[in-house]
Amino acid sequence: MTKKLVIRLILLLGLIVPFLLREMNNSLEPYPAVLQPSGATKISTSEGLLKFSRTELIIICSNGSEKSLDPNQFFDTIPTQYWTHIARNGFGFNEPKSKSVSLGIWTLQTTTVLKASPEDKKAALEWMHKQLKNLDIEDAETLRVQQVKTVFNLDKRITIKSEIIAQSDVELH
Amino acid sequence: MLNFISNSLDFLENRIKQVTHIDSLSLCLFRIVFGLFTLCFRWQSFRWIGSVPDAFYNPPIVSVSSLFSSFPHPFFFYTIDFCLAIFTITLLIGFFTRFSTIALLVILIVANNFQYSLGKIDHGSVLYLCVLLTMALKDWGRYLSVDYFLFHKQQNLSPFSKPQENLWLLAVLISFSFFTAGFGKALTWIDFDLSTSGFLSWLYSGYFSYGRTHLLAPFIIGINVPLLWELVDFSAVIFELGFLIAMFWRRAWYVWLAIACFFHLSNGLLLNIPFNTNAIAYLAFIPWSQLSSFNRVLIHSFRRWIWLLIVLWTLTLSLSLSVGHAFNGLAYYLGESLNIPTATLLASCVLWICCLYLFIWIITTGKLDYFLEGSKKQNSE
Repeated sequence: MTKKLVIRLILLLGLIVPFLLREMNNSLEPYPAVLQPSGATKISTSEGLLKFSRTELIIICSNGSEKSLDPNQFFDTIPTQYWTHIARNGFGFNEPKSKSVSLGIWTLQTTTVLKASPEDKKAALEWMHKQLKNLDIEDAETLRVQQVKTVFNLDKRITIKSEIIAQSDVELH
Repeated sequence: MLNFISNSLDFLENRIKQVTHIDSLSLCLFRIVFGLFTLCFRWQSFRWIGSVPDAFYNPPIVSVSSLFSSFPHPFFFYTIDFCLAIFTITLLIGFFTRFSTIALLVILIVANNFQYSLGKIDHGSVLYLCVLLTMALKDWGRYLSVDYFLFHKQQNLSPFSKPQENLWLLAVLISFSFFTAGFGKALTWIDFDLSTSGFLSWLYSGYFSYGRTHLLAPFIIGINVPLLWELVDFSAVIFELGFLIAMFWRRAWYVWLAIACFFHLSNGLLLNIPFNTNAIAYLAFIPWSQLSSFNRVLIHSFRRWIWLLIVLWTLTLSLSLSVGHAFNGLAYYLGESLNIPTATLLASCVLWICCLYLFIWIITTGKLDYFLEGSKKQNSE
């Protein structure tokens, strides 16, 4: 009986502990774990207006002109679901980020974005140049990641306002 | 106290065992379905990770990959792809079945660890891995397998004796995984506020950020019926949390699996999110031995079918090597070759329609209680 009970307890803990960790903080979500995406986000639809944000990639050329970049083509072999996360982390060029998570009497310091070495950054730049070359973009100076807040009119079915709320640049030279 | 807890858990476990009752032959037929599903819808390749810059490496904090500072050498991912291909065919034909099941499970977990080190954990393969974990503890290579000819034939095991099995562990894993999805939504989406919507947040972010603009998505963009969207939010939460209750009644469990197929079909059509890997976890509960034509053909001529399975696997492997990272399975490849627009999504919708049909057929024809008929016959004899 005790052996059976211990096995059941292990199974129970194996299911519940990862779930509790994710509920405490998304960055603590372990892998592997039996978890499905919660996706518990919601948007306001008051006055027939929808407000949501999206991520865009812009290339700034040496003559100052701007081109919108298709993420699917740019990231090529990397599956589409990852590009916003890579872009928001600044392609590894951002400063490392840490988060403090309170676990009762303890506070856990977690690193959510790692620091890339100079060699890694150089390799990332080479990769980006190669991807841009494949898209016939030779004179790119800067890769810009911007968060755009969009207001959509539900009745007219059109975007009535787009506003840049955050942006970061990666210098390509 | 300990006795009370143990007895209560015993009661619940036995209840779920009765609900998820299945015969051994159905499990073995399911093994072939699982293998074919992998060839058609879930052919995975990880060698693309070898070309991703190490600056993008951002592993989950609590994972094996967090012990590494960068992606392993590209050769590592080529080895993973090679092993996945080998263990897929050995599982399909049932050669060292249990070893192949465990090997596939371990390799996929390790490979996924590195794939999810791009800053996001995907949940699409969770139930696929749960099936492998459950089947590693079951004997799904007993019949219709090379193992049968090598190890079991001398024991004169008849496929028609149908030893009893159950899938209580898989049912618990499916129910719990849906609970983890529904719990957060219940706290956020159930707000009795018609001016907010959870469903629309998925619809609009997918439509404008991820290019999910196909099938029925353009037709519902701009539809402003707050009450309808609130009801959609409610029904999603009830569906996801309902698994935990449905798993205690056999008919309710199968009805819930049918609803799940409808739920995924709707998600594919409206949100362009197919989540088709979940299908294989639901299909494990189909009593395949009751599909008479399928079962008769496979059982009596399995030796010949082995060669067809090997040819199919060889075709899939060759296409994977020639097409490269874009190859995800035979079904998608076929759709794209025929120049069908949004072939991937359409293939997923067809899959969900087939699953829905199967579950409705099982429920309406009374095939659910097939094992009771067998025991009644035995009693009367």
